[in-house]
Amino acid sequence: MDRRAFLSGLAVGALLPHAAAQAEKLAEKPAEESVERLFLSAKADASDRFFVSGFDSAGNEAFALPLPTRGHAVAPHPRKAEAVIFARRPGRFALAIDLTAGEVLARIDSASGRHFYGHGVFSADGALLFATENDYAAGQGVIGLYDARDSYRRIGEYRSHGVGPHDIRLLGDGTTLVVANGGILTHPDAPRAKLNLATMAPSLAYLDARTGSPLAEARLPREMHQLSIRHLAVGRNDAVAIAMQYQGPSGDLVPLVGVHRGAGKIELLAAPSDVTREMRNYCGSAAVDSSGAVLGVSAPRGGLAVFWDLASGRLLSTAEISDGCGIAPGPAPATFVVTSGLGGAFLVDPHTGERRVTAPHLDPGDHWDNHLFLASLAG
Amino acid sequence: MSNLSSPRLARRGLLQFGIGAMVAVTGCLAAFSALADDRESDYRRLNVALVAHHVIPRYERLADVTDQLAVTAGEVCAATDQPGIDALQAGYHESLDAWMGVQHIRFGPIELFLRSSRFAFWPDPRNTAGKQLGELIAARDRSAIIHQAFIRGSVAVQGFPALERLLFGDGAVDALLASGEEAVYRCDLIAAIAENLKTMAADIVRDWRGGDVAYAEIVGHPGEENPYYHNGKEATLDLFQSLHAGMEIVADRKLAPPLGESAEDARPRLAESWRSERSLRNIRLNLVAAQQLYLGEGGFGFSAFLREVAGDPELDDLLRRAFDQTLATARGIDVPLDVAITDPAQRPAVERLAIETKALKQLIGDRLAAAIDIPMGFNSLDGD
Repeated sequence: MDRRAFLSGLAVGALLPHAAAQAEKLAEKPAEESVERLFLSAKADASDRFFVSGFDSAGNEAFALPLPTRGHAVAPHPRKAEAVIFARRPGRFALAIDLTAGEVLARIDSASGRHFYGHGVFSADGALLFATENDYAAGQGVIGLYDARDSYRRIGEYRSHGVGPHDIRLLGDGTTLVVANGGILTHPDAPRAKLNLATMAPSLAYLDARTGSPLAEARLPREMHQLSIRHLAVGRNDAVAIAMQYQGPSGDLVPLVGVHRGAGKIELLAAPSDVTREMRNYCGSAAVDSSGAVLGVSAPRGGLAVFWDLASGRLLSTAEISDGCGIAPGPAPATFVVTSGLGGAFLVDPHTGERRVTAPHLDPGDHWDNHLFLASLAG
Repeated sequence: MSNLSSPRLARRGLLQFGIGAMVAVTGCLAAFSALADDRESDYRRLNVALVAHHVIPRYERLADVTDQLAVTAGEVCAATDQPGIDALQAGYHESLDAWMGVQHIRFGPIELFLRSSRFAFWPDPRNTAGKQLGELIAARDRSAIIHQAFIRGSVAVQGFPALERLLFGDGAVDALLASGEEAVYRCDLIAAIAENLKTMAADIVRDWRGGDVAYAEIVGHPGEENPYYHNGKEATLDLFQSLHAGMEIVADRKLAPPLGESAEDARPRLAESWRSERSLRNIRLNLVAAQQLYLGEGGFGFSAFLREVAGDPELDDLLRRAFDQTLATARGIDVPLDVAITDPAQRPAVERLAIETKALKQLIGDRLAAAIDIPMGFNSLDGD
């Protein structure tokens, strides 16, 4: 199904946040729906072995494919039951997976002088895969281009127009890429060390997916240069939500979530100082619900997921989920699924913060990693 | 340099916030304060003891030795000779010893004004310190090394790695002993670094003990009005994370990158402080510091907390043994790290040290965290 038609079809439901409707929404969905969609996430099992997992809404795993090292994010193919899992940074591999067969289709090795940052996205037609990468000799971010129709052969790269590109998304027009240039300089010789905290300058960059031409750029005010723009979620009207990680003193109380609406400044979303404080200067992941209207951001250091109405920027609720980080739209509009590094998944109502255990068949010994994606098997 | 001031941003955050949302979020916060459990007084006791016996004395030591280093630099730079350089090198070692004893402490005044990066801009795989030092020396810009300008300049040249290059780098001693402007500038650069280290260390001690920050008071008096800690457990988390960071620095930053997969694959130049041949000395001091944080420097520490509060003497025994054994392994290697990792006879000992530090880190992150009820999750520990 076309994603836009899908979204508009669901939008009506989102306007009815009555208690009864909410309760019904949080009830388990019938089994037949679970075969059409699969949640995808990296995980570690109880023995610290790493996998990429696909599971249905009941928590039955369709597959768990071993990974050489810890995984990070997944890019679901827009048109077929396929996805790419990226290694955690500084990653040297990505795997293309057949979601129906639960098999590896192709292994993508990082190019010479490049490593993966852990995120990627497909072009609208699924022909190309875009991956955030580090040109570490130059200390510049690039977007690697891979031909999905030719075993994911690397066919070129764009500049990310910033340092440390992390998340990347495609806007609804199908031709605009938005890149979170986190601003943090790293080098694989010092894995995960931050090399420029004093001078970092994150940006949100818009690129033409067809040419790599920079289309626009948004930055935070200069005094917020240590707010690393890391994760993105795209909502209705291509509102780009940004979830950030603050690299300055832990006692500073800074806004961690913003929205950019294509032009103008990044709007920082307000939260009561106690909520901001509990987020502990660190957002783990972001998602927009299936209606495109509600933003959910996880803050695993605070054990918190926080929800905003995207259009108004109004905070809706918070939900306590220990080590909750992976977040994806739930099966119904105005629901989210949040996975925990301590095991298990929760279905959350963003209007009330009410949460309950979902996907009950998940192995409680599994540690769910940073990101959760919902992929369609129907194509 | 960041001039982010938290109260200002906090106010701005509050102003931007609509009134309606206040209602929706109370649930989460009420539940959170329920975590202020029956161990609250024990957490507080632990925090106060560790700040008094571990954190502050170690920063005081750093302040003392860097003060002496600055005095030495002032004297030596007036007339540089070999004994003067020997004294500077000794002062460098003494100061870096003290820094290694606090490198694991990641919270409190060290977080302000980029002090951590300014003390030790390392790892530095892009050789930023070397390049910027070269540029400074080539330009011999005196205005750049006046204290007020120096501390606002690049962090990479302000601390120990730059000092090491100036005292132990290839040809560094000859360059200091030569006659001419460059030698004078090099020594004045050493003095500028020493002054910076001294000032930061003194400021950190002041900020812990009193002044505007009075961080010991902040740690000692958690509560709803305390902007940093609502309860004692939150401050214990910071101390615990320093313990964990101490092991992580050694295992993941100082050992794994130079070690590589094999002797052929080893990267000696990725070791810390290889120019002054003290990579292993740094590691030993880091391990001792982590051990002492665990033991509480003879007072109430994580060890006593485990035994007396958590009631897990077996885990305490295990951790004590693990620290002892790891340190014994580190002390048993008697050649410089960059030599040991490429020497087939010595390399196994370094590999063992790498395995032991990693295991100890894991023991702390998994078992100790669980026993003292400190949340250290798969994702919350991550930074990505």
